[in-house]
This record gives sequence, C-alpha cells and structure tokens, in this order.
Amino acid sequence: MGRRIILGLFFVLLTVAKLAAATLPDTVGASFSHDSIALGDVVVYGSHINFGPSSVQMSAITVGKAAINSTPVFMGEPDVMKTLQKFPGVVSSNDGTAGVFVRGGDYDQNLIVLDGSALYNVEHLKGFVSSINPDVVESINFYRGGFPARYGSRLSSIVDVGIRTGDFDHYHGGLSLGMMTGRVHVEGPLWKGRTSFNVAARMSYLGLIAMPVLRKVYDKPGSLSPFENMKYYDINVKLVHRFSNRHRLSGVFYYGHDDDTNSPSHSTRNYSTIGNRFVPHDKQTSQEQNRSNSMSNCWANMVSSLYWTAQFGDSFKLNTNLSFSRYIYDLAYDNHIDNTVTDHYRTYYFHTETSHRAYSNNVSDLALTTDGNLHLLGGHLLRAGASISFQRFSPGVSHSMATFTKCYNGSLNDNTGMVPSPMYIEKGDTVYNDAGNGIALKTASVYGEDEFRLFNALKLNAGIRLSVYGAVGKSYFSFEPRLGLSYLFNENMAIKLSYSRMSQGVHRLVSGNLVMASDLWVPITSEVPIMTSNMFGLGFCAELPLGMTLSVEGYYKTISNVLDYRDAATNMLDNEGDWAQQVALGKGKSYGIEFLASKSVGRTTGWISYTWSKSLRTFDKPGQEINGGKEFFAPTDRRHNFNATVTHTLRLSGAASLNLTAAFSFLSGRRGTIPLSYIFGFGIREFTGATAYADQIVRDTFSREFLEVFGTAWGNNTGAPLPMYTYKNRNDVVLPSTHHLDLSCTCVITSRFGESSVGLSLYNVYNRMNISNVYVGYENNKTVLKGICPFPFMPSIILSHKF
Amino acid sequence: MVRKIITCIALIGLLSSCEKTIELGTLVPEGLTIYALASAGQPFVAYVSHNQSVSEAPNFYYLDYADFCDETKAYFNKTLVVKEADATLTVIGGKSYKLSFDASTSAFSCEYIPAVGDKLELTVSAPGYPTATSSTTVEQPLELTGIESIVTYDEAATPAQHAQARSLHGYDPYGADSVATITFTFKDSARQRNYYRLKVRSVGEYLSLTGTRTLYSVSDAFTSGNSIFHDKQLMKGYGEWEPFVTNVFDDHLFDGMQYTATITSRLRNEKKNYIIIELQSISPELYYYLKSYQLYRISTDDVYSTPIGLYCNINNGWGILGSTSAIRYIVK
Repeated sequence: MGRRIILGLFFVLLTVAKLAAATLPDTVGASFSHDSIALGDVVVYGSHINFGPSSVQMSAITVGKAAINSTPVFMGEPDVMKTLQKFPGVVSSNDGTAGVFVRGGDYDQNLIVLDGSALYNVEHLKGFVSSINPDVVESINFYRGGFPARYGSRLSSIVDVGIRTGDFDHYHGGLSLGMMTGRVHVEGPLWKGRTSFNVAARMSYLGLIAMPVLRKVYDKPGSLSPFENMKYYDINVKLVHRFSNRHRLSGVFYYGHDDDTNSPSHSTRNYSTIGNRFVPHDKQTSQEQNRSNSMSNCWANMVSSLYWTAQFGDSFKLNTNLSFSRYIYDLAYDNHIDNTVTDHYRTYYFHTETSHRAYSNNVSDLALTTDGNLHLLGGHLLRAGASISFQRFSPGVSHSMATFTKCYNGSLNDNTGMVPSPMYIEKGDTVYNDAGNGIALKTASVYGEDEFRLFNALKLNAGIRLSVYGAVGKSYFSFEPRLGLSYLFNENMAIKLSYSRMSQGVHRLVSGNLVMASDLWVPITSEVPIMTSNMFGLGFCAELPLGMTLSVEGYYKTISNVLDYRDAATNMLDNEGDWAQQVALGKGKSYGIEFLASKSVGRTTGWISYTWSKSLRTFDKPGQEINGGKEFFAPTDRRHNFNATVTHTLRLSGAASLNLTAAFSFLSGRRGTIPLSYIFGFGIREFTGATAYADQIVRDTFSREFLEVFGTAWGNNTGAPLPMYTYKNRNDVVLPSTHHLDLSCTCVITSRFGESSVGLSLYNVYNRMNISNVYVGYENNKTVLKGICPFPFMPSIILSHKF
Repeated sequence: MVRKIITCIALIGLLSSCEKTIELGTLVPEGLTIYALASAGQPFVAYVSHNQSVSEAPNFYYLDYADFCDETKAYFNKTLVVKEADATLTVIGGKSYKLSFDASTSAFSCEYIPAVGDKLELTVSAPGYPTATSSTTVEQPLELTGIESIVTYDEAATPAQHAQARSLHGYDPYGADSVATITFTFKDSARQRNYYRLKVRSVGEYLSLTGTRTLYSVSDAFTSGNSIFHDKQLMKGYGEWEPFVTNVFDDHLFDGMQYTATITSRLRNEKKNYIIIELQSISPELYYYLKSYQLYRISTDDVYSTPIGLYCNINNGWGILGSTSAIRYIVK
C-alpha cells in the first residue's frame, strides 16, 4: 500500500511538472548562477557553491571532502562537525566534541540536514565523533547568517549536507581502520548507467585499542573504565535511479546508535575531633562523608528521505522530498551520598541517600517539501517552495530517591553501660514519573525569493517566508523577510549586507548545571510561543592572488522567546508539574566580528580564523525573572575563538605523496552555573507557633525592623545569620580556556589496486589539560571543583585503502 | 634512539592526567558580604562580613540543629565579621553618616533614621577587600483602606482535646482554633513598577500555667486565593506557609489599579489576640532578594536542580541593601 502511494505521488508530481514546463514561454533564458544545476547532472543538496565576491550570499561557506579529510582532529578520524568548528562563528559545545554553537545560538538552533532530512543529534560517543560519515559526504554548505528564504525552522545555522551519489558506472570502495573507529564504504551501479548505490558503515571499538593506551597514560586509570563501554555504529545508504539526465529518484537512509556510560567521580571527606582537647569529650566525633555519581546515556538517530529531482528545459528545476526522522534519547544519573558519624564507642549516626534521575526524548518528524528554481530573462533567479511537517515530541523525566537513616537513641558518647532503646531507623522513598505523553506540532511554510542584479555592481536576493506553527491549543504565524545585498567593487572584491528574520518551533532545554547537565527536546505550546530572531550582517570579502581569500564580517542578532530553566528547577518535588512549569521565557542578543583568511590553491593550503563575540540573555518578564531580571551571559558565550590550519602536500614520487597538516585551536572556556561562594546571610524572619522568644519578637515587632525582615527562620531573637551557597550571576563560572596543537602526517600511495594511506596523528601535542566537564568532590577534606580532562596528548594511526 | 622515544613517551605519561583540581580563587573573588536595611522610621543597620569559597567553607558537624545555630553564629562573629570595616551611609542631597560597630550585635549602625523618599548610598571598605558599594531608595508606603476582619471558629480538635491541651501546656498546640479572614484595599501607583511585602502577624496572648507571666504565640503565615500571592515556583511549603503562597509580590497584575485582597490568618486562642498588618513597599532589589531566598529555603539541595542565586545588589561584594516602608495597622 505504501509503495502504491509513493508511486502515485511520483506520477502526480511528474504530470504537474510537465504541465508547468509546457506553459513556460520559449524565450526563457538560461542564466545559471554558480549555485544551480550542472547540465546533465542534477545535484540538489550540498552542491558546491562559490560564496565569494561574485555571490550575494554572505556568512556561508562550502566545505569539501578534501578539507574534511585533511583537518587533524581527535584520534585522526576525519570529522565533518569538527572541521566546521575551525571556521569563524562556530564553537564546540565542549572541548573535543562535535556539538556546535553558532554565533551565540544554542545547539537546538542549528538545522542539520542529510539530503533534506533533519538530524536531531549530531554526536557519537558523547561528541568525540560526529554522526555524519565523511565517506558519504559530497559537500557541505554551511550558513550561519544571511539566510535565504528557502531555509527556515532554525535560528542560528543551516548545515546542508549533501550525500554523495554512487557511481553509475564503476565500483568503488574503501576501508579505514583507526584507533577508535573502523569504516567501510562501497558504491557502484546496481543497473549500469541507471541505478547506483552508495553504502557506508562505521563501528567503534574504543575499548580495544584507545582505552588500553589511555590507561597507560592517565594517572588515574580506574576512572577510565566506564569509557570502555562507550560504543556506536552507524550506516548510510543512498540509492539513486536516473530516469534520464533530467529526472531522478533518490532514496537516503541513515541509522546511528550510541551507548555511553560515565562514572566520573568518587571522593571521600573525613573529619575528626576524637582526642581533640579543645572539644568537650561528650561532643567528640569522627565523621566520614562519601560522594559518588555516575551517568549512563544512549541514543539513536534514524533519518530517511525519498526525493524526486527534475529539470524541465534549461531553466526550471523542481525537487520534492518526503522525509521521516526519528530520534530517541535516554540519559540517567545516579548519585550516592553517605554520612557516618562515630563517637568514642560506636557508630552513632548513619545516613545514606541514593537518587536516580532519568531523562528521555522521543522525537518523530515527518515532512513533505517541494522546491523549485526558475531562471528568467533579465538575470532573475526565482526560487519558491512549500513544506509541511508533522512532529511529535515525548519528553519525559523520572526520578527516585531512597534515604536511610539510622541513629542511636542514646546520647553522644554515652557509655553508662545501659542498653539504649532501639535505634531510630527511618527510610524514605520518593518516586516521580512524567511519562512525557506525545505533544504534536504541525508546521507549514511557503517561501519565494528572487536573486538578480539591480545594476552591474549591485546584486540582490530578496525573499519572504511565511510559516504557520500549529501547537496544541494555539497557532502561531511568522512573517520572515530576508534580504541579501552585495556591492562589487571589482570582480574580486565585494561588500555585503544581509538581514534575515527566522522562526523556530522547537526548543532543546539544557540545564546550566555544569555538574549534572541534561537536555530535553520540547515543542512550542499554547504557553510557550515560537522563538524568533532578527539578524543583521555586514561584511567584506576579497579574492586575492595565489588562491587566497579574505573576509571580515560583523553580525548582530536578537532572539525572542528563548527558554531557560528557572532557578531551583527540579523534578524532585511532588508538585512540580511538567517541564513547562520549570522554564521561563526571555530574550537574547549576540554580536561579534569574524575574520577568515584562506588559501585553497597550491601545495600549501589552509586557513586562519578568529572570532570575537558576546552572547547575552535577559529574563525580565514579571513573574518569570531569572537573575533578578538582570542581563547575564548565555551559556554559549565564548569570547575568543581562534583557529589556524595549514596543510602542505609533498610529492615523494610519481605515485606517493605526503600530506602534512598542523592545526591550532584556542577557545575561551565554557560558562555555567555552580554556587561556589559561601556567605553568611540572613533569611526572612518569620515565625510560627509559640516560642520562648516570642515576647522579644513582639517587642521587636515594634522596634527593630531589621530583625523583622532579616533574621533566622527559627525564632532566634538575635537574628543570627545562616551559611548559604550562592553565585552572583547565572553562567558566571568560566572554566579555563582550551587550546591544543594537533599535527598529522598522511602518506598516500596510489597503485593499480587503488589508493592506500597511512596517517599518523598527534592530538594535543603539548599535552594541555583541557577541561571538558566538572564535578564537585573532596580533596584534603575540602570541597573542591574537579575538572575532567579526557583528551591529553594522543598519538593515533589510521590505515585506509580506497579502490 | 628507541630508548629516547620510550623515555619521552614515559615522561609524557607521567605528566598526563585525567583530572584537574580547579583553583576556586580565580572563580570566586573575595569580597565583603553586606546585609543592610533602610527602613523608614527605624535606625539604619548593616551587617558586614566577608565571603569564602566552598573550599574554605568550614564543616559544621552537628546532630542537633540548636548546636548548628550556636556553632554558625560563633563562627560568623569570630571569623567572618569584618569589625574594622569603614562603612558610610550617604543621603543623596544630604549628609553622610559613618556607621559604627556594635560588638553586642555584630552589626554596624548609625543614628540616621531613613525617611520615605530618601536615596541612599552605602560604601564599605576594609583592608584586603575591594570597596563595596550599593544604593537604594526608600519607597512610598501605601495606605490600606476598608480593613475588615471576620473571625470564624475553625475546629482543629475536639473541645475536650483543646481543654486538655490548655491545661497541660498552658496554650493550645492544635494551632489556631479560630481563623480571621481579613479584607483590605489599596491603590497602586501607575508611575513605575512597584514591589510589596505583606506582613500579617497574628499574636495571641495567654497566661502561663502559674498565671504569673504573659506568653505569646506568633504566626506570620497566611493563606489567600488572590493571584497576587501565588508563586508557582514555590512548589513546597515552608513552616506554616502552604505551597505556592508568597507574601512578596509586584504590581504587574494590578498596575495602577485599586486592588482588594483577602487573606486568612490562623489565630491563637480565641481571646486576647490581634493581628498586625503592614503592606510594606520594598525596593526592587529587596523584592528580588526575598523571592530568591523564599526559593532557597525550600530547595531540596538536589544535585540535579538548577542552582539558586541569591539576588545581590552589592557592587564588588555580596549580599543586599534593601529598603522598606509601611504603615502599620492593628486589627483586633
């Protein structure tokens, strides 16, 4: 039945397109711009585009396979997202991980599409590797601003990944074995000249090679044991059938699965006054506190799409895509604390608390999209399209806490010989479950854009996108004008200007708790409206001799209806309601300046990029204030981002070459919230019931106002202060900056059997201890903040063969 | 050569580590902690101490909470109070007053009594700490009109239980045996965003068992169905406060309008009780501080929760400088 529906849809669209083509006037000219169609080969997604001075598009780059393969990253594994992190305006969410923040936006503001289908989680192995297999990547177009009208539904970036079409005539393949991952790739014709396939698969074996090496290097090898259980696998399949040079049907499928566990901490604190002559004998005790926590995490992504691409005449192209994505995510934390107090004679008091918290995400996304390009006389390139999508979100949180307390009923240090009454024992259990019933979201969009020259030197892309979001109980409309302007000083130099308004119907709630981070994908609701942004960009770009390019861009972005967790947001209380009760609505702004200089021609290539940026948030709606309504830094705020990558190719002989690459990265530290300041402050002095101090309180009521407001809550009439843990502003904890130098050397030998390569990669050459995560622990009987540095100096070897 | 390579890798191995202790000194700057209140008609009082990082925080071990209070108070007075601080209160457009330290209360005070409309600046400096400054304005209090009180009898126990408890304890531990429902009206000023704290203190007088002494029972908690007293963040009750009920609110629901509120306060004993009502006009900073503290005191100390930041308006320091003013009404 499904096959009949798809075939029926195909024939209907084909008929409509033929009718449309038949009505076009014969005098339609063919003035292809750089980003359109190569006659005889219809490339739709991730097509290689020149975003240089001749293009009106700013804030965009095309990243090809060569750049991805040559950039040295963790363990020598080529990585798409980590290559993007080397470009301006893009920072990693965490050192060594694949998640990205673009121009101060959050992770959920990036739309990552594989041949038009959305990918919700771009990370494997907690971000060590990205979900995008470089073996199947044709090219990537990355937009971080100046979004044309054909893109929508996310605020900060579009990562348009084009999956490569298999060779229609010959078979090719490759095998790659690294320290962490093995990859295999095969492509070729199923029906020569008509149908091709492209299949690639990867699997990790972290515990086999990398972990034994790291155990020899780390000074606390025991803490690495949970990393040995981290594993992933993924598979990419693309089938393409060519009806003709102008019509093809493509099917894409991706599935990836991850399992992670992490046990970052166990620490102990001891304190004793036994034998201390300054402490009365009956108050002397010895106390031991133990704290440990662990985490387990697994997720899976499934992406599938079926799209038909057609070209009618020389000027009209139509692409229709039916896609389905599914994302499942489970994260669980376990925390254990125990406290033992011993006096001179016995264990007097014992308390243990074990808590478990679990988050789950379940997202389904079904979409139908159609896009058309039409070239008109006068140099106009018209684009128009429509899309409709159905999404379902099931965010869920569950927790349990078990406590056990045992205490002697007698007095401390009482050794009168009398048998005390039975020990006091108390047990407690709390369980909470928010099943996360599915929340539906429907989205529909239409857009139109026109790209043309106003006069010789001035090029314009103007467009409109209209979006409708149907949440439960409410609909939201978004009117999104887009404008791109470029002025050519000459054919090699241009100044560009852009404005884009974007909207987004989904949020990824991320806690700012640096110690126990978590995330949930949630849709808009009748109480949580769509997020919108306005972005302005101004830039200059130039193509210089010797294949060099230079660009400087500034941007300013405002965001409305951004979500964040309120203070004390927790799911450990009985009355907490669902996630919507835990969040507040606010606004954000970010601005910055980006420099990029690159050389792409010759034996020595590379680029240098630097970004200075700021990203801020304000939550000042009455009743929803965070940080007292004061502006604070967003968790995505990373002040400086510098990257330099240089690759040099040496010809050793006719068949052998050596690629040498050096890459240096510097990134300002992550921000987060941890109450690290210990103050003695006053609470609100309020009373209940009879108290020995009540008469004083009554007198105070009429005389000492200060104690009326600031004082203890326990009726102490002197208003003694209490110790409290606090912080000044949200996200004001900045971890140390991360920086590392990475080197790689790849020897490539070409023979009649194919191309073989051996790569040696040295990650973090000077062994900088870059902190990735933190936790609160004990050291020398003091509470301290400990940073986990999972990526020290790491040599790795990778063997590849392609045929 | 091979030996050199192995030695080099071994050295790198010795230097490598997967954990690093972060020096909190760089993350938590040292500063003065100031708690100060400018209350119209009351002497100005400020507590000055200094903060510590969590690494320096002492371990207070106790099994009895009374011991905890004594220990913390002793630690505060002995270790944290900055007795040598130089504190000056300046009335904008008026004089400056130097605050003097009182060892009996561990507080700084001066003879100046703030008045409604005063704009005040506090500057505190001490050797080894950055100079802390803050400012506040004493807001105009509102009059309450149409105050009405209706007392109803609320059966919390049988009459026999009430009588038995009174004879045993000298007072009724079953809580209030009567409930006062109080209605009052006030008009908000439309000129700006205003912040309030409603104090409703019920006081009951009774004689001790021997009849020689007057004892009191005091309660500050009340309940209300009015939305202005509803705070959905307070998901847990505290003391006699019910969940979601707060006495600190702003005017966004009734900006510039006249508002009639109804609250319910439990009384102790049927006889000889009275209720003190004050609608305190508080400064915005004090509002945010009190809101954050109300959240703090019910927090579960849960490692998964979003941490709470106690609002602070002290530049280069910690704590709060707030102001209040109110007209007091006594309802009998």
